[in-house]
Amino acid sequence: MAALAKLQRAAHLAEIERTLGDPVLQQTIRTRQDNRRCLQQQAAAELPDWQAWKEAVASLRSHTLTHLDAYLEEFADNLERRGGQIFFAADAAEACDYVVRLAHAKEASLIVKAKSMLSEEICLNPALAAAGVQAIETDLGEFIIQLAHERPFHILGPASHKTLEQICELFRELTPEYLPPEPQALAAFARRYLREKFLSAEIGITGCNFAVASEGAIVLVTNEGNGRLCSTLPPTHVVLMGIERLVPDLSGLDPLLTVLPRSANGLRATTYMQIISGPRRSDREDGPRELHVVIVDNGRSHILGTSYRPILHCIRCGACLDNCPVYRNIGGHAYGAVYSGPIGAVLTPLLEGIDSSAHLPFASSLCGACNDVCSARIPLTDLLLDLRRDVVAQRLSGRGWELGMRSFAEITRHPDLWRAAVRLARLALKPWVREGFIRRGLGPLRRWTAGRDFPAVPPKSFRALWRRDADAS
Amino acid sequence: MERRAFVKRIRDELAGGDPDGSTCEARPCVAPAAPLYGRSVEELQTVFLARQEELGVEATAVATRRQAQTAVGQLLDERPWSLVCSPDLSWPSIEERRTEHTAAADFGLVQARWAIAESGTIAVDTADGEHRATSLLPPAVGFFLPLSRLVPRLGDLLEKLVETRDSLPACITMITGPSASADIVGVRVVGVHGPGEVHVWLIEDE
Amino acid sequence: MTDAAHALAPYHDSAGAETISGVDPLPPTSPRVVTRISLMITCLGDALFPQVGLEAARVLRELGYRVDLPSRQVCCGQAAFNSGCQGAARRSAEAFLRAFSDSEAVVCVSGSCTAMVRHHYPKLFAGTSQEQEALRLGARTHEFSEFLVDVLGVQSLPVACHRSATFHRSCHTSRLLGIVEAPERLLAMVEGLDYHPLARPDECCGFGGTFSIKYPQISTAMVDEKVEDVLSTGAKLLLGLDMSCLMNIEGRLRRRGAAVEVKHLAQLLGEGWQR
Repeated sequence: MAALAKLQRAAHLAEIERTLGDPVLQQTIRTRQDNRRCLQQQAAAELPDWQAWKEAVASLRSHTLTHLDAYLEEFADNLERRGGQIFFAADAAEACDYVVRLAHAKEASLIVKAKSMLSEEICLNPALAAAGVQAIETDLGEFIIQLAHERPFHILGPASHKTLEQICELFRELTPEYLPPEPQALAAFARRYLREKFLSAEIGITGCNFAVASEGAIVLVTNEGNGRLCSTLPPTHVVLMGIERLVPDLSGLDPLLTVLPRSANGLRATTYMQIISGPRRSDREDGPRELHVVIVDNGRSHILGTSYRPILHCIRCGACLDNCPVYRNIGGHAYGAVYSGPIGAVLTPLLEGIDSSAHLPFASSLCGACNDVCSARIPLTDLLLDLRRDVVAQRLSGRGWELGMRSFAEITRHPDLWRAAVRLARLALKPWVREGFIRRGLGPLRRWTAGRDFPAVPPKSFRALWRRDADAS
Repeated sequence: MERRAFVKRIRDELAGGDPDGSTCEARPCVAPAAPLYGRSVEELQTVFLARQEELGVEATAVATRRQAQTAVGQLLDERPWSLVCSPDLSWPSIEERRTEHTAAADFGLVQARWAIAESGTIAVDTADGEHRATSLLPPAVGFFLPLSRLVPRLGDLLEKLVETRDSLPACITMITGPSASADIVGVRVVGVHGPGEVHVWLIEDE
Repeated sequence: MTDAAHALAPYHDSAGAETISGVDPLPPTSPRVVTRISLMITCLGDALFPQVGLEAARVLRELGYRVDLPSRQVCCGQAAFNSGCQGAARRSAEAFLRAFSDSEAVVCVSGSCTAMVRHHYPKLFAGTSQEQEALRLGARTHEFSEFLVDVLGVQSLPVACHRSATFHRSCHTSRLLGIVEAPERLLAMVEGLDYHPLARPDECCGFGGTFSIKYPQISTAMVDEKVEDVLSTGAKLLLGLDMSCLMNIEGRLRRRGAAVEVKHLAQLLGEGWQR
């Protein structure tokens, strides 16, 4: 485990260096963030009671999770009543196993997939590939990163780090026809290429934005139409759903579908919002003959029972990523997992185990911008602080830091010791002082001075000056 | 995992944590009242049509269904286009342009069930023989929308669905503008997988 | 361990919107009742930026208050707390609490330290014998600009400074404490001040406490963007309410050879006080 942690941390730091050293990528991330912040703010400003809407989302999510067991049962009963089939997957392995077995049962050689972060979390595609089933991503961004064999760079925009030339090159590998490096032309190619996949696939797999307990219905929120195609054309539709996706009833969709499109894309509504309750009702209709909903736990129930429960309120709007100054500089890959940004920094250690991602909670300045924009008012920085506390309590961080903090704490309990320490620091740093500042330091100071000057310790501390003034008067 | 064990695991975790402040069974009262504008039909119509323009949708208010049908006929003749629609929706003069082969059709025509003024959303469903693919596969799509079906907000639409939940269709699709994506270098392109061209005829006497 | 699901911390939108739940916001302290103010100068303020505390005390005295310095104060424990070292944080914080046990009203020259006391002490001391004392300290501790504008209700000050200036909104101060208007009002009271707001006053400067040393590369990239914003205003003076942020920005400004002076708002007011 320790070896894995070291590898993860090394990869994390390497990715940070790489991203910081790529001026084109830096500009891409910043421009995208600026654009999205602008759109989000405009959409929020249009609703005078925006905060109240987010409060409604927060309290709805909190209520739902508190009674999750009951809503889950209600959902299952209603889904089955409407002709759907349910599978309860305790973990990633069970979920993948079910889908693979279903694919074999349907003799499926081709599966079309709409965007599902959960499917990436459980590593579904590799499991299908190992079983000889080809799964093609149809969301434009996911399609691109599938071709590039990369993780998503952003929860909503998985290929947002790719340049036009890079995308063009990836597409050119699929066809002999000439493709100009132009967005509309590339999108048109993707449409043509994937359209025949939709028409021939035996199974369509989608994620699930929300699951309505009172109706046994699943809700899909998309913009491109690939979600609709995956859930309409193939004879079998498989939905991958995290347990926390539940909503009590249809009216509960109001705050969720009012806030999500605005926080995510600055839209009043996404292009397509589907409420699907069961497979086709009769042969008069089109649509899948079978609907399978795979409800996945994979560590979520454990989070429910801890003080980290609020992280499950997340509705995957991505606003925290768009407003995070750290994400702005390091991008999504540096988080080393499916979920990146503030949500990823909290969720990944909780889902994957804090030992392998002990560094993530510390890769934040705790500025709180994420808290402000969170659709569900999740106290993300509080959760990050709690995780940091857990990391230290489990002795997963460098001992040096902990000892340093403890020593400092002891010094601060004794004003005399503190005075002496300040005096010592003044003396020790004196050789490096130029014009009142230190440009090159040792130890922890060296990391600071790599990029910034550090102020010299003034000849007299505040306390000394205060005493001097008091004596004088 | 077996259902009972799966749910029990969740129940046990919930019981282990501190009880929630609100242990009441009642579902929380949700949406704040958000009237952006009054609810007069004229106002709703104005807002809805303005939204369509913002979205790049060709929207026209017509007095009768007959006029809408004439407009569709003209559109089909101009391009010239083949049409897919449910038999219930069709009418004699376009029968020759109608095809059963949705995947090859140029234009899909669908009866809209509801529409939302605030977001410019149109809701269709699978009742009365309407196919999901009709508003999905062709590169262009059109909707006949009765004015009486226009509601102010999403919450109002959801209320209507709740009223008829016993006969909830298998698939309700809410459509707002053309299919779009900005996944390629942040540039918005339309018609990525779904229809890139959208027409709406708002039928005032229905 | 408190259940965070039911102890949602209060969050203030940077626009200064309402608290969600939890700890009381600023209590109404009548200026007529308080005559004595205890200064919270912070460890950074004591060791590295003594002028800030001196000027803050000067301003408070000019406004007619007696100012004292509880001598046993050293550090609120923020750095340890943010590093996850709960035990160490509590050790510092306990001593800090005791140091202020005699104080009536406490004015702090750092937004982040004020936030530590008001926002995090309740959780840090929850269930301990010092819980009430911590809550009491939080209720009577104010950030400097907040104290002048919201508590004392200052409408004008005899302060002049004929320079071009800009202002950085520290994250803890603006988001955790909701202090946005107070410094703006104070700046407006300064005669002759040529104020140019930053394009992104809310954007984090990259300090983040130990973050600046744990992730110096990210921290430097963040402060670079802040520096560019400062430079693009053309201001020759950068102001703020938190010396930790200002120290970070100043360090980068200097490294990039920029001729921009950096001061705490208290220094602007104290130095510019017209007698």
